[in-house]
Amino acid sequence: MRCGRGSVWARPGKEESVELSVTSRQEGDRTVISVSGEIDVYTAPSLRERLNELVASGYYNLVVDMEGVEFLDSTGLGVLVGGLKRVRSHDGTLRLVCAQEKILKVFRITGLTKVFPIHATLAEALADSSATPDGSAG
Amino acid sequence: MNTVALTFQPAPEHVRTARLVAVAVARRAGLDEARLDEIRLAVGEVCARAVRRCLTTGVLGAVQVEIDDAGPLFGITVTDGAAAPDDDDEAIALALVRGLADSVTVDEGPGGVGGVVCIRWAR
Repeated sequence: MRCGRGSVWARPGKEESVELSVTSRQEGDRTVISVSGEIDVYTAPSLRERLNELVASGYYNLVVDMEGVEFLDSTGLGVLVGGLKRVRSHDGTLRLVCAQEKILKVFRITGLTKVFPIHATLAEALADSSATPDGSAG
Repeated sequence: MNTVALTFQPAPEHVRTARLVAVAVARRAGLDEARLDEIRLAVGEVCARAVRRCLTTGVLGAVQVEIDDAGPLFGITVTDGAAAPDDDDEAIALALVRGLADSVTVDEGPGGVGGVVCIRWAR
């Protein structure tokens, strides 16, 4: 199945290019999307496609694990915001896992730490049952 | 004279190249790791903006990146030949860049054609 930009070929559950790898798996009632590499203006569309596919397939409780992300720009932020809006329209949740200061800084400068629940570890994200950054059920 | 200059066709895949080059010059100039992260992101945003402007207006002339580490400030100038109006993506990208660089100027290009963005950091 050909998908997205250029010559990135999609296999079920996994997309890879030189700069970005996206894999997904189920963990209980949550879908964990593990992202590694660089999310930028060129690679972000493939992450967007993966998120859109998951929502279209009925997966509304997503955890995006960004521990392997080396770089994130505003296009990547836009993709994450778009994903959040999509799952919220189905009363779902989108949580992020990120402990890297250089990536957290991007969320902080743009004020998006108030928008996304961001967890330091995947275990915390999977254990969290609140829907909003302040811990309320939303 | 610029320390290093790079020209690329307005395509998203070349923005990473511009980031790598800018960071390489900044590292050689002795800027610290935190600064390098700021420069990497800011250059990426400005170049992505230039590419977006070109693609949305169908202007396929090259984007030019000039890196200057000769003076008291480390500066990068990105020039494009597009004439796109501001949009939401633009506002977010520039807000991010203003939070990262010590100074940012956004101007029209020579003769009012295209755009020029200069971003600078104190060394």
